[in-house]
Amino acid sequence: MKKFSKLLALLLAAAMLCALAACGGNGGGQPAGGSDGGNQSSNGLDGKTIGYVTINSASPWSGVIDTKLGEFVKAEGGTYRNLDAQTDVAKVAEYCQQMIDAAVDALVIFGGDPAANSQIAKDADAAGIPVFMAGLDVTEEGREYVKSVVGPDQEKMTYDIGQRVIEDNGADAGCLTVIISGVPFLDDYKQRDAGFARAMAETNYDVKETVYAFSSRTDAKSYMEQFIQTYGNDIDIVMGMDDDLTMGAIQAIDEAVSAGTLEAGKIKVYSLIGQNDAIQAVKDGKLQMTVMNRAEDISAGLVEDIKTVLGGGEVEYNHYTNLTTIDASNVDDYLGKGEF
Amino acid sequence: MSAGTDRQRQAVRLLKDNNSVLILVILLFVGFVMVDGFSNGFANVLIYSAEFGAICLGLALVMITGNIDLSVGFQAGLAGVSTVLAFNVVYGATGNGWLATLAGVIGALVTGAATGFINGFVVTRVGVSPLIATIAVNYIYKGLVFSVAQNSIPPESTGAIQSIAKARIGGVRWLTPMVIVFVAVIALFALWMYKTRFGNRLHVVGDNPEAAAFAGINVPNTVWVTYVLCGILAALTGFMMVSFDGYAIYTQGNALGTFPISCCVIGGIKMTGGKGTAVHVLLGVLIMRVIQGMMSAMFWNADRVNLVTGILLVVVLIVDRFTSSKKAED
Repeated sequence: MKKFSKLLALLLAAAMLCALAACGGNGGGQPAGGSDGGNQSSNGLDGKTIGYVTINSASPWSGVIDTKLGEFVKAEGGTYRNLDAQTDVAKVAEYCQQMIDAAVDALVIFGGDPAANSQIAKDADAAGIPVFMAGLDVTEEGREYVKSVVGPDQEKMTYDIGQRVIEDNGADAGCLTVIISGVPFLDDYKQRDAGFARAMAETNYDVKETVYAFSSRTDAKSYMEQFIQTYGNDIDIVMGMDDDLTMGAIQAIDEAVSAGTLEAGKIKVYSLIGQNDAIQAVKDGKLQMTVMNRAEDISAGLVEDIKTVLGGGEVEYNHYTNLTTIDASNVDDYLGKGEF
Repeated sequence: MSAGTDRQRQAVRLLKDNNSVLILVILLFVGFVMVDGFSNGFANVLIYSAEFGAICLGLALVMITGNIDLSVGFQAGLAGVSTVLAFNVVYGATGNGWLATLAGVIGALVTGAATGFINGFVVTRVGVSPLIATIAVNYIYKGLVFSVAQNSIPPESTGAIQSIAKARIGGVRWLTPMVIVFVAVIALFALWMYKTRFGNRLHVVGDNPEAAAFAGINVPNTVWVTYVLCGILAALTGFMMVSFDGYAIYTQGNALGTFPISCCVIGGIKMTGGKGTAVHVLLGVLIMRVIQGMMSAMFWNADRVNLVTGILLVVVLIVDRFTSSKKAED
């Protein structure tokens, strides 16, 4: 027992030392480019440190923004610092404070709560740090402290998809429409929901209440199974507010068709994001369209705006990034070219 | 045996019983000497310790009696929501921010007392295992918070309520009313546990409930009171979160799932009960916040943050388990 105790004590001490030694290391929270990218040959951000705080880097889309932003900042000769709040809204504020304490030259925030981000922007502005939002805006009271919001016009994007649905099916067709959305309290989903609802208001469609799969493809599949069980072949349209969720719905539809409970080709599915398996689904005829919304474009737009502002220039508050509709007419050009 | 050897043994024992002090000193040394940017953000360590310290103290009281409460996060979240609702009602009626803040405090503490009362009732009167009971009620609190605060709900005026967490006394960044309240609460509970008969009972109940009952202590009532106190202290954190962040939101409760347990265990509160003081809680909170402060000063990725936090916790839990077994053998 005594020998075991000594061995255990040694092991624990070693583990603690390893952890502490790891603590002593240099910043590791960098994307592929590494932490200190200030020695690259470039110009725009020479000697500048750009801080990035994300609500969640685990989702593919925000992960790409993180990685690409790091690469672009590094390519411009700047230093990139990033912190991930792991879906904790309050942690976003804490980490932004950390960035302010570290006296970064510009702060980029992705996600979180728009009202909370307004407060953060105000604090950063008071410290003389320009704030840029990736994808999502802050609330009205925080806008005077934010330099620009770079990202797609989420509301317009889904409104346009709604218009495409109308174009394909007619406004008076009375289509039974089901909607699978993501996280009800996140602003991007709220905007997407609002845009599609605006388009549907121009029709006589029977739009069922939106269900929220909380970014889980499995849950989206379960919801679709429930819809099929309830409405069966009466369903005409499925709108997925994110390709990942839409792919869950398509899987449920495929299984129901295979089981003979659903008529093949009856349901038309629409989506957005432009991930690779969704593009393949367009090619396979299982998805009418997806809208590619490239995270890389957001990162590029952010770096462009940061450079302008740090150089003393002015930028447009809303910096909308490009959207690309992928449907049967052009799908071959995009196969395998999604970001994830 | 010489007096010198006795002193040495006493010193070793003191160190063993209070190893969290040693851990904190080492961490502070590592932080200030080896981590760039840690000293700049050190004020945050104190500020966030004060914000989240009360909830850890509440949980510690329950743990000292040999029980557990896994619902503290959403008790705090629910109290945060109550804070805003009470604030807005009174502010709407009077337009007085200070009166509304007082209403917010009362709203939070009453909510905490109610949730603690429910938890204590289910555990001590219904007889459900504390683990299962508090997981179950956690879903109820979570559902309530989610139904009201999916999005942030702010007080109608933030000046008065936010000054509790953010007003700098003498211009010192970390010296806020929130920090003073936390230190006072720790001191109050430290004294209460040592100087009062009821406070002393907690350790006796946690160490050996049968012996405590035999000695005439009403064990169920004692445990019930600790759950109510736990709810009230969680609510204090709920209020502080609103005061600091300027809003109540669902994720505030969600994020507090394991943090209080980690702080308690690292500080030296035994999972098996019977050991620990308010000072241990203070040490545990400071240790966790110093570790988090170092990691964020170094801009670590989430995976490394989780990995190191997990390793440290496992180490501390193994030490806790090992020393508990050793104590039992002795």
